[in-house]
Amino acid sequence: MLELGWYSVKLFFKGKLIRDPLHFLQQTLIGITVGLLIFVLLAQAAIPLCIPVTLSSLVTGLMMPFLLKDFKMK
Amino acid sequence: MDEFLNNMVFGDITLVTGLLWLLIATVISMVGGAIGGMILAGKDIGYSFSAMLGALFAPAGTIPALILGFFALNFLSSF
Repeated sequence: MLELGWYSVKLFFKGKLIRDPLHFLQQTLIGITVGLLIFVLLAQAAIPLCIPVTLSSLVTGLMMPFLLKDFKMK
Repeated sequence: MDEFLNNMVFGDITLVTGLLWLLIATVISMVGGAIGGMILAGKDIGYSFSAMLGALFAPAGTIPALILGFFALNFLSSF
């Protein structure tokens, strides 16, 4: 399993894992925007900083597979 | 040390606390990505493989969001 992950990372940096980099970038940007909004809005509330960090990370992480579900592996 | 922990939890963002938060956020997002991947594709490609792929992609969205967020917060709190 770790080998597989390492292999994917290597392919990714060779530019061979993702067939359509622009689409990947666009979906990633959507994820970044949502995560940023959640984080900044929650951080305005009078609660300890650990809560916005945890929540926005978890939500962004959950979203990424759904955003990238139609990426093409070679 | 007490002061540092106070800053860490209650929000004065310095370079050190920011980096620590980033590290923590990366781990949390990988957990989130693993869960998302399992929900999405666990049935099709197997749960361990989908969790791994999810964990691989999750930080790509989370790390930039957090870095931009810290900049935004510093910017806002300077008013």
